[in-house]
Amino acid sequence: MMFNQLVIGSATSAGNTLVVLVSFLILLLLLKKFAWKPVTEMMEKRSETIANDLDGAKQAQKKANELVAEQQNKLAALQQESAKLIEQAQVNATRMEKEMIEEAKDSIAQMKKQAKMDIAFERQQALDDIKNEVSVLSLKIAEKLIGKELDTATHAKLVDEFIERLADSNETK
Amino acid sequence: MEHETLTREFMGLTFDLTTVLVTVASCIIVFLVVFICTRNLQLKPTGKQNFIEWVIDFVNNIVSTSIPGKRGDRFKLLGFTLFLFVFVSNMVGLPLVLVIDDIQWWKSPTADPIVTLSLAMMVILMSHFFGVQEQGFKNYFLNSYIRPVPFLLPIKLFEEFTNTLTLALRLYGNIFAGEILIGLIASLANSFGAVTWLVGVPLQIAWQGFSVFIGSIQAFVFTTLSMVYISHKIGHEETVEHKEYVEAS
Repeated sequence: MMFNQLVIGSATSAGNTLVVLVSFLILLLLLKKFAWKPVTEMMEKRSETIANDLDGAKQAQKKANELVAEQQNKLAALQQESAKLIEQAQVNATRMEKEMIEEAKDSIAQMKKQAKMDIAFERQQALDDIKNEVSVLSLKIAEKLIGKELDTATHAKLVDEFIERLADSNETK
Repeated sequence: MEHETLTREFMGLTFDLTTVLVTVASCIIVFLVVFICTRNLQLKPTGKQNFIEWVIDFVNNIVSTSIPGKRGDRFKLLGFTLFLFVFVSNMVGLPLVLVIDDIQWWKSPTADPIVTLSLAMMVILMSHFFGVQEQGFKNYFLNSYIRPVPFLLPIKLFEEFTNTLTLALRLYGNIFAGEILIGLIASLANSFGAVTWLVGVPLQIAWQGFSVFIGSIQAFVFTTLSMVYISHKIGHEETVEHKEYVEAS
């Protein structure tokens, strides 16, 4: 009967107890060597890896956010700069336009002045020519009229006065 | 339903060969299952590795519920082995109970009270050993038997024996009763030849299913209670820490 075996010191139970304990201990040691240690190490390694990966992901995201912010700042700066450049260019263009107009006006005025001076000079020369011609002519006429030769200096004076009057009357016209 | 067992005398001790056979067989089954499941360990587990890690996690939870923190780590292998051995032992008697010429050749090792008492004795002795190791003999003695009040000493001493007995006999009773019923249903099924199979086979299927459930529950209970007993012997520092933690939070 089973319950005979429960009595302490019964011959049957000690041997069986020994077998159970020894086989359990051997099983424990075998499991430890072949299964427990590698599996536990693997599980620890995994949790470590996961923790590291999570940290890495967090850092990567932080870095990415920083990069985006940096790029946005750069972009904003570039936009500002380009706006400034365009403005500058516009100002320059306006100024150059003005300058060119000024210059053109100046040169036109210069040319006008030059032309006027040329005209005046030409006119003067023409007048002088005419004056000389007239004096010579009038001298000849006077020679023919009065038959006497006038002295050239007195004659020139006379002619000058005449031309002066001629010019005045010419100008008033 | 008691059958004779095969016994042999060896070195002045008597060995019940049936118990020896099924105990060693259970150990071999446990080892093979775990060994096969832990080949080719990967960081990213698949299939059988998932299964064994699930079992390990399950047992680790049992252990750390009773013995929280780092102190529980050294008992996790013990819990793992206990759980698997008791579970497999409960199961091996379900598909097959072999009786030839009234001698029983195959059954669950845990249907033998000597096996369960051996396991229970081992656990209780370990709990005392670890109690002394963790707290020193003086504190172990005071915490185990004198505190909180000295007059409970006889009851506490008595409790050590009842713990052992209840731990063992709960498991034994459940599995032994299950096997008896399996035998009864089998003889019912065979009582009038193939006709009674119509009743016996569904009944046997149902009872075996229930026995799987009982065997799992008993393996869980045995492991849990073992850890509770160990934690009672070593766990007094932890309760202090726990109180401080509760007060702090």
